[in-house]
Amino acid sequence: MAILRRLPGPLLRASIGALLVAGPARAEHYDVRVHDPVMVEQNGTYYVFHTGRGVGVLSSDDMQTWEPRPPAFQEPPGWATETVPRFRGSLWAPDISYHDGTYTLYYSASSFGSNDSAIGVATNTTLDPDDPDYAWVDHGPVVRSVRGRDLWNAIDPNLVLDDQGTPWLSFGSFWSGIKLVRLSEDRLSLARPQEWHTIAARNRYWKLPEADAGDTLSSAIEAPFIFKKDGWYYLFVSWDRCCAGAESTYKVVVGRSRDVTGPYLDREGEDMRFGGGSLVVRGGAAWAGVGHNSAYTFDGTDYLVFHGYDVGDEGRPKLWIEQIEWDRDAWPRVTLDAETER
Amino acid sequence: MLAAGLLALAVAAPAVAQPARVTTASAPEDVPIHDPVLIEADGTWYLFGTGRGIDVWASEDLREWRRLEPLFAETPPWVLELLPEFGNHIWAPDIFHHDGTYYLYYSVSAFGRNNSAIGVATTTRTLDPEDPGFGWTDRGMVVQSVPGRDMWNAIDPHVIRDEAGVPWMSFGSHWGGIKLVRLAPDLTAVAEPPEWHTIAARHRYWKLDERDAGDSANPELDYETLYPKEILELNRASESGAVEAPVIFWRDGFYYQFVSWDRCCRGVESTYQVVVGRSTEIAGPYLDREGESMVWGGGTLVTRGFEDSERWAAGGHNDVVSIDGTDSLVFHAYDATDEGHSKLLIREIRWDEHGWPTVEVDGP
Repeated sequence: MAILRRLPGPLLRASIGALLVAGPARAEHYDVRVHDPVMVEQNGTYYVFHTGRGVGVLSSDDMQTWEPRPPAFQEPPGWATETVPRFRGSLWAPDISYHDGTYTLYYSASSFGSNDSAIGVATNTTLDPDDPDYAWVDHGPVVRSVRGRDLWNAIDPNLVLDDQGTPWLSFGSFWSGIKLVRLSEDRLSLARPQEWHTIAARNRYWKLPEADAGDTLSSAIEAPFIFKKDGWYYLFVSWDRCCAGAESTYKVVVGRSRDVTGPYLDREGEDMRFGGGSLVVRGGAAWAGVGHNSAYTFDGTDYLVFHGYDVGDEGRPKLWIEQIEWDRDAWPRVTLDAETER
Repeated sequence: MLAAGLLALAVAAPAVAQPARVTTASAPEDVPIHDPVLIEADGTWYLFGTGRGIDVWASEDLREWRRLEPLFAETPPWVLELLPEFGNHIWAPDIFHHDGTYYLYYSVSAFGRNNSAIGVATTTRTLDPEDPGFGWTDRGMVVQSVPGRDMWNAIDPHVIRDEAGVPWMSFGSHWGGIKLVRLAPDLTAVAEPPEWHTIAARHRYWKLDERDAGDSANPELDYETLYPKEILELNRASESGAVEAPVIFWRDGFYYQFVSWDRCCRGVESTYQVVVGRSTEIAGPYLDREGESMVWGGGTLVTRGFEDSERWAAGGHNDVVSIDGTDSLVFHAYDATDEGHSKLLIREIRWDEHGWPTVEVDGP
């Protein structure tokens, strides 16, 4: 089994000497190829779930050295193959969470540039594939979008609990932006009656055909992640262009709200529904675009987990885990350490 | 819940100036109706319109009219689950006849909101309440719109079969415009796999709140806090997204889509007008006379009220019916000689040499 290595920026300085000895220059940097990473810890082991066939899985004991694990699904869920046109088996942009003995994995079934999509959900009691109880149980679709009906795209899910413990799912990509929908108590379906909100959007040129996702000048917003801290809900989203290797212009912006349903305002008070968003992190010379983040607190430290397109490696997406810096007004920033810029 | 609704109704009623309940009329222009649809069955014309339980009228000659009992004596139970406050005031019906069954589609909603649904009821063989075989059966919901989820409003249905016999329903009001959805073969549900299209829309200012139809008239919203003052004034003065009440009519190789633009329901202050576009495919694109797509604001005027008439304001929300071989526009307009109450107009459609329809609101 191949051992993959990456270093979080904060840990880099401590380890850089060892790394320089360890191999060629390329090896110093983030070698773990992932797209749309999310993370959870179980019994001292960290697991990353990411876009891939059957949902890709990695594990690590130290957030530095990662090894691939079996995908969550050996076969794509049958319902997705049946109901999502042009679905080819790669499950996108998962979300992982733990509650009351159960790990809940949301995942996206779609095809590039289309909003004929769905978000499904599976559960497991353990993430350790060597545990005899390990088994992902699929519960089917939670929400589906239909071209021509919906001006939104049912991909890029993220679960958040409000202060009352009510589960909500944020999701969305392009078209008219990011949705928030209330879930049932078991988190496996929508709550009834349905409660929906649009929480972030960017201007969409109104004469775009409805089958058109938009582009970097129009509608380019996706991958919401809501992180609770000190009485605020922080809504992170990714703007601009993913998935174009060294041409990617992906970046992470944020707004915050006292209510999970918004409005989420940026640092200048602009509403994220109307194009607001304050920069958290963007790419540079070495990392063309960075984005599709998640955010977690591990051992009292807040981390932003995301991918960046590695210009030095043909624009391949790599795993980043960086400490979040909070300024005195409680706005988050992440610095791509200068030493990691190639 | 029903008792509470009736109580609220009884309390509210005296505050609203209602005309005396008219039960007969000797001309269409004397029939108080809103959002009319017309069908002929066994030699009698039946007219359905917005009203408590749905207004129903009958006529043998389109001149002498008599009011029949409302279609729904009580609100269908599924509607009360969806809209507990619903007062059985049902909007914008559509009547469709196929294979011995009459399908009555209807809209349940609340003014200014898109917490709405379209339902359907059926009756077989006859529309005549005197016939022992007569009786409507509610078939429940066809489609629902959810605030925050949908940029469209599930009201104002109209059903048509395309040239291949496939049933479609067009519907919509404000927000992102008019939808077309394929129906299941039994005509009471959306087809699977789903097939949807937007077939008409008007520009909608993108910073409008999603719960705002486009005219800042949702009574649930506090507009003073929702928008800056200048944006609110702009919204109220503009016709952002003001398109509704689609009807698709096939003639001579084209599907014609009629819609109503601007504002209904304000008596002689209303600004409704009927515009049209056409397409060789039912899914569009529907182009107006100048070649503008209706999805991007296109539409050629068919008829309107004021300016073209002294008596009638804001003709709109039309049906298209062939009457003794003459294509006719069936619609309502607000009567300046009767406190702006809406009345039934039935007017001949004139097709010009290029196949474009016009209607004179004071014409035959």
